[in-house]
Amino acid sequence: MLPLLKTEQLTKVFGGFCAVDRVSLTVNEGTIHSVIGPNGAGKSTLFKMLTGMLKPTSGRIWFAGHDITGEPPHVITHRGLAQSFQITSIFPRLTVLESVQTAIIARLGRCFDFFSRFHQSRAVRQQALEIIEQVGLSELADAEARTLSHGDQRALEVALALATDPKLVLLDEPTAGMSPYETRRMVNLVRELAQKRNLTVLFCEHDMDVVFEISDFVTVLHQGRVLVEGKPDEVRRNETVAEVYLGSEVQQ
Amino acid sequence: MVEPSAKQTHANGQALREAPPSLESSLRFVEVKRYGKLARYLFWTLTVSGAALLTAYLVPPVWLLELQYVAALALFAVATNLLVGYGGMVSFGQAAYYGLGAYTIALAWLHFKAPFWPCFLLTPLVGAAAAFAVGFIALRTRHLYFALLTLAFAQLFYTIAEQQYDITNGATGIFGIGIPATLMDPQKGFLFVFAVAALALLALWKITTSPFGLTLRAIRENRVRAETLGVNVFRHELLAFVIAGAFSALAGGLFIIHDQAAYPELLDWTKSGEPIFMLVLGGMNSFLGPVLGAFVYQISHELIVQHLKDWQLVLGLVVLLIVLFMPEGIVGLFNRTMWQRWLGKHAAKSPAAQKQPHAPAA
Repeated sequence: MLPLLKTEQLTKVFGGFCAVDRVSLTVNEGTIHSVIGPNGAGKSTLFKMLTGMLKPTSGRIWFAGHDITGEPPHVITHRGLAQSFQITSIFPRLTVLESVQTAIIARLGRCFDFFSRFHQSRAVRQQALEIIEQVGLSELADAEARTLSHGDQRALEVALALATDPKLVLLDEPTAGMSPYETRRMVNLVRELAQKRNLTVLFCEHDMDVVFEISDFVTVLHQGRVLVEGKPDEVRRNETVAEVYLGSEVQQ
Repeated sequence: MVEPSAKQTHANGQALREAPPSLESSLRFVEVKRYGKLARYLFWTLTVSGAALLTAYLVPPVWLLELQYVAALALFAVATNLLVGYGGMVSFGQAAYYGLGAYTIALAWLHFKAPFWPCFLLTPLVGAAAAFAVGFIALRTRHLYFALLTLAFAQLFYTIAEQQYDITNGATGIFGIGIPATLMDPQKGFLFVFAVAALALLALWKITTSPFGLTLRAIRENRVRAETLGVNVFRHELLAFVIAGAFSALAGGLFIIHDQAAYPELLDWTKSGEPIFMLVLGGMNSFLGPVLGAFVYQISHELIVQHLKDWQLVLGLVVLLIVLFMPEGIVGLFNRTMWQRWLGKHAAKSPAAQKQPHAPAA
């Protein structure tokens, strides 16, 4: 197994507050890797640095052999690192199909086609419809994204990430605010995608059942630092982890 | 809902699938492509040029001159709508490019007695260059700040035109600009202006329905998401701004054919407000809405000022009513009431409403 994504001593300081503190993380190719931790552990900040939304204070990020530290988001996307957002981030007044078409033409670098209808070409349409089917939204292809239910919008999020044809997908709390049924559907989807598309998945999640069920590897963050790393079983049995989770609740 | 789909092949996503939705829609697409395209082009070309010829021979010359102006304004409004409606960038300084188009021809005539045609062809380039310079700075901001910066730049052009008397004749403006005699004839002039505006609108139509247009709408909807999908948002918006500037300047060039004059008011902020009013009036969510808006605006202006001095008062009332009751403009009025009531079915059911939530598939 080769490391696809690697961070070295990654640090982010906001004012005097160290949100992420010298985190060194290795995500191997083809694995489902989850990052967990109590609220404020630095998960979202870490993810934002990986996608280029935030610039690290210090440290480096390596992705597929390239140093991507400080590159803008659209460049990182083109390198094959896609993300879905914690807070649903879609195109409200575009249809599901149009949204995925946008992602595909962006990947193919055809955004600046002025007079063609490349996004309506057979190849692009079919590719888009295929991705839409994979996430289970075929019936809703022509619906505006804003009319979708929460669970369907989350599925569209994943579809958008997939449409960039990524090597690695970052899922920031993919089951946030979902019903048990929707959560189950998302778990199956992530697992299926990882297998069929040979995707590497890095995700952070609050739902421990979900984490331990589908992860190959778990990293626990606490107060911006890596607390424990290991296989799900090891982490589950780890006493410090239990302490952190219980402790943080007691303190509050 | 995730069906255990048949074995998955996605070699670059070109895989063929037998599943009904994809096949159905691609068939529909092939059909449109094979028969629809040529017939549709032919139909529209004949209809539009027929309408133009009929207008030219039936409408009295005074009104033909007015319609020249409407055509120029319509192009100006649609170009502005590329920013406002499609791109979500509310620019309050589009008059800068419109006026610049007019001044390009006027100044070249005044100082060099330059012939009309090359200058006319130059107008979109001048507009594009100016829009590039302004957009490069203004697009680093958004929303209100963007609106204010575009406004500030437009006022800068206005001030130059008004105060550099030696170059621009200042507030007096430049009058009696020489244009080819054919274009002075109301009929031929109208046909020319109409043809140029129609072709420019066709180009803008192609642009809005292209991948560029789709991406522009995506940026309007969610710029952060667009960027994480790999879109260079700044460059994309800058290009849209340049295109809008180029076509606005072309509209300004058409204005010279109508009026043979250029004066600072063409660059003023009230002029920047006009296309915005037109696109709100006509409907900014449709491509031709601003054209309708330009027509209704200018014609009603002409009719009302004959009887009433307070045109601005009427304008204010209309804006108020539209914003409150017809946010989709005149076009929206058509969509909402007539189509839905008469065709009946399309109204209630959006595709999302048809799908039962949480019906477990397997």
